Amino acid sequence: MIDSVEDTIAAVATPEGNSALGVVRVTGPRAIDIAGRATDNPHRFCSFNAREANLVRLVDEQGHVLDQAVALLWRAPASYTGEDLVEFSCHGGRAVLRSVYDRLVDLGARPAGPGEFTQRAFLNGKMSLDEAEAVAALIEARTTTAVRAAARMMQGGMRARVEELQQRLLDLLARVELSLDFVEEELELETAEVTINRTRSLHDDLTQLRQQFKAGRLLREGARIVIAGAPNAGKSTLLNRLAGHERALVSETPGTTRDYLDVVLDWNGLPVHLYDTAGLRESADMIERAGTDRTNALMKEADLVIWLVAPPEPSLPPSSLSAGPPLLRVVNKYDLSPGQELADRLEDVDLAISATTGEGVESLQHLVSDRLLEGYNPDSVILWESRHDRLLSDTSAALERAITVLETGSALELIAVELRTALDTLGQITGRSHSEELLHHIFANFCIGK
Amino acid sequence: MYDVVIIGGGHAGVEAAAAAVRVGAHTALLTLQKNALARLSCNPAMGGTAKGQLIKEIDALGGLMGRATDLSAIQYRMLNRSKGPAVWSPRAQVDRDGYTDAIERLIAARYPELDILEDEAVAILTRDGRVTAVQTAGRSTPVLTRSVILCSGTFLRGLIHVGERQHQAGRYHENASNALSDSLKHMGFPLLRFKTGTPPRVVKSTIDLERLERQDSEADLWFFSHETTRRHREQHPCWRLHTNEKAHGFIRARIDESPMYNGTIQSVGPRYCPSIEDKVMRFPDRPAHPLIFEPEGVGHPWLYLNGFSSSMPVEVQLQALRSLPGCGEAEIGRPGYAVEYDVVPPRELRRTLETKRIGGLYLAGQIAGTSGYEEAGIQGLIAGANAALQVLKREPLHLDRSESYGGVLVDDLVTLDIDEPYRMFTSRAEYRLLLRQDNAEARLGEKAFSAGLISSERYEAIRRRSDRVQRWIDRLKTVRVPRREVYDGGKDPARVESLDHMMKRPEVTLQRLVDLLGSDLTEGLSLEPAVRKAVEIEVTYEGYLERQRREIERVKGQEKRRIPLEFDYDSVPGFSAEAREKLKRHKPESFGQASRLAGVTPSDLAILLVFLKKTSGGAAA
Repeated sequence: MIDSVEDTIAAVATPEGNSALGVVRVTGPRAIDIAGRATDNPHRFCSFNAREANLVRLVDEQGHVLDQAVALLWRAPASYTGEDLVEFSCHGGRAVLRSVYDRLVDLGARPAGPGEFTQRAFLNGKMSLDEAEAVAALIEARTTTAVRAAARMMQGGMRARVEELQQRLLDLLARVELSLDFVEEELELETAEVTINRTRSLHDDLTQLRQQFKAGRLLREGARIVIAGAPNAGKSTLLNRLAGHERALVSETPGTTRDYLDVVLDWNGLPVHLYDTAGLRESADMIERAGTDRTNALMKEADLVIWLVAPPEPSLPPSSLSAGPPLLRVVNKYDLSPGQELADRLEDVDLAISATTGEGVESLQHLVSDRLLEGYNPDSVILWESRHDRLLSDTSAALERAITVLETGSALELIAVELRTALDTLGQITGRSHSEELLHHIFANFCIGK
Repeated sequence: MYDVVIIGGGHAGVEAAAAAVRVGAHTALLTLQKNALARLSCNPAMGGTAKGQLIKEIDALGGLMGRATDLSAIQYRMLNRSKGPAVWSPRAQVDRDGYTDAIERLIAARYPELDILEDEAVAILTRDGRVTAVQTAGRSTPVLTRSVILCSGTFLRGLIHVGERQHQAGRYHENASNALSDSLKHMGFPLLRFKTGTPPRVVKSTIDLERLERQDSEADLWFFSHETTRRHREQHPCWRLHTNEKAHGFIRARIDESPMYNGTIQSVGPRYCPSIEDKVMRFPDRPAHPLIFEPEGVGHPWLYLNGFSSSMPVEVQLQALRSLPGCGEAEIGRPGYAVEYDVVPPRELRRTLETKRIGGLYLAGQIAGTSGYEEAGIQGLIAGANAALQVLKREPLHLDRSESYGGVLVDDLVTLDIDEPYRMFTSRAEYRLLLRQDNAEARLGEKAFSAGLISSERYEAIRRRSDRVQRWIDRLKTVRVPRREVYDGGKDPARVESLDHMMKRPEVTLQRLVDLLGSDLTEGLSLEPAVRKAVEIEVTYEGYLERQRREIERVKGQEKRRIPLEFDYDSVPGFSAEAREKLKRHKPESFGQASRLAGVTPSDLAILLVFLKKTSGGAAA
């Protein structure tokens, strides 16, 4: 099924790589609505005049700020595409642009295809007919680039892995369809339990694959590592130690770090964005509480959290983090005997260090990169595209729903819906369609027919 | 001068004729044998997975098949009951002669204005790329007509194989029709060669049925047609059995004598309907294959051996048969056979089933590449309605993939490159949850009425029912009570929730709510079984149905975006070689069709869109 030409599309408009500013744009009948809902004040957004720059706060689903951006909006037909169009000029950095783009897609925009903004401009009469060939050439060229990029992404066995998952999913769905379409053949069908297990194992392998894609992204965009823990655990000291200079303000008064600080480092080729955060504790201080909110948001978005504990009382990471990014539990102040006692006493400690003396800090760096690049094969060049990640994550979500449906013992036809969604989504990565393949698979592998 | 002439009186032919008359066209049906309309050439059963849904759609469009099935049904079974309402599939055993009889009576009673001509069509005459007349063998002058629907089944150059013997025939003892194939070639149509087969008919009195597993009609009363209110025939059982290694051994030993294996038959047979020799050779590890003896009819001396389709020599069929339980003394009434026949590749068709090549010429049924009574019936109906609508200069009848199996079938035919007879499966429908056997009337009522296929009274009744369903759903969404009044309530029995929400739990049925809440709930509403079923499915599947409806909405525009048949694909730069070839071959009618051609990528489509705009100056939207 191809993409519709009537829906609303979004894209990161500026080229890859870090720059001071980046543009995310969205066009189509719902552009203003979707863009508005990505801000903290949709109502105000809708009232903006066309072609006027306005400062907006872009927020995620929970209302956490993603970025402050300049919004420009055009109303149909007076826009480049001839449809409603919104552009956000954000603070560069792929991570920021991606999170804004992801948010727009979450709100209902479809990731734009190659040359699609230009195509719309043409279709809406914003270009002369003579330009049709130029548009076609553009689409072709962009597609070639995309194909080449996809080929690069798929090197090093990645393509084979996606296709292997596809094949397994096809087989799984074929077995479900078999029992729906061929009811009188007395085929030996799988029990629900076997189907659940196969679905789970597919889901696990998909998760692993996403992990590997993620490693590729980390190498290009940098890993977001957050140092968090109770007040006065030594987070800022650690940051300074890692950064090699006094960056954060360090004091003995708990809660000195009021906002997060960002340091960019290079650990053996892995770019690292290191964030120091306000200490997490109950606080009556409004400013400090605001800092805590941001810390929580930051931890959720992080690729890895270093949870720092120090004597006397080790604090536990917030429970909300259990489903979040990987966590390294690190005991600080190991140069002093209370620190050593604490490290001995606690279970599941990943490492003990002293931020003050530097003891164990290098091990920490290795541990972080090992943990993040787990399962990543340095020989494979993985090109990350947000589109692919989104498709993999959608596939994963469909499989999770399939598992739920299976577990609740719902009708087989519903399981088929979810598995088919998963297969179609995966097919968008490799460009393979399955509608016919499914029946071929059934005919080839099962004795059906009367 | 006729408006519509139908060639062939099979399942496609009779539905085409009836539909053309319903729409209001002056119609004739040309058939080799007047008293052999709608013959069941293969198994004496109607419906099954996806096929049962098709019969319901034919009925919703005012067709004959559902009613004729009910009039001749001797066993009813709803398949797939445990797997969800969308795949519930009605199936019936019918009395073979009783079915033909029912069709003939229905036609005589309801379509007296239909002319049934007993003659053989030998050529379709055209002028300036349009049909003008049909030349027959028995008439000195051609039958003049504005349109022709060709429903020739397996008769075009039909060739029957039994072992190493062959003879030209469309059905076992019925003459093949060769001249029409030449006529099609003459008009420029490419022809494919397909193959299908049928199992032996076994003499009932020679089988010890006591030794086999009996399968009876189910007790539940339901029907194929909206107008049926009771079972018209006494119900009869089928008998199940299995093949064994001994039978497989006989087949294996003489496999070289199977025309499919020794190369005599080169044409492609359906993989979903393999012969017994195919099953034995392809799945050597399976020690037994299921078979069913189906009655050919009440009091009929033969049984149809479902699952035992074969073109082996008669003595091998008999030898294998006699090694089965209860079949030691078996005699064959008529051997199984394979038949090869000509097919026009259906990419030649528009979605009205009119050929792109010749105006006013429509194809339906096996000649258009399908297999199955139900597949033929729905095509005949679509072709018949459209031929009539065209002559009367009215809007064509287009069924969409999103609203019917009929739409899926037509769309698949014109967009897939089929290489075997096409059979419907529920898995072919991407919106399967919406295309259910229980809602065919609600799905198709409006189109059926607009085309003139059903009466305004019936349409009103359908609308009133849909309306009642909607009012129930609204009621269930607005009535809110504490959970404990309806079920144990889980962790929070006091929580107040809307009834539709609680109905997502399997134990909370609509009937239960009615029993518990009484008139608080039912005030002003009535609850007949059809409404209850529809409401329950709509409410419990709400999330899924919504998802499918959204998806339909998303791609809707693509079907409206027309592509002229004469569009010059060679003038467009940038297509991939594969896409260009596909587009030129298929000449898709809409952007949606183009998008479903294998090998046409999103970027090809983007380019196509741009050039459509360029050539049409904006009419594309």
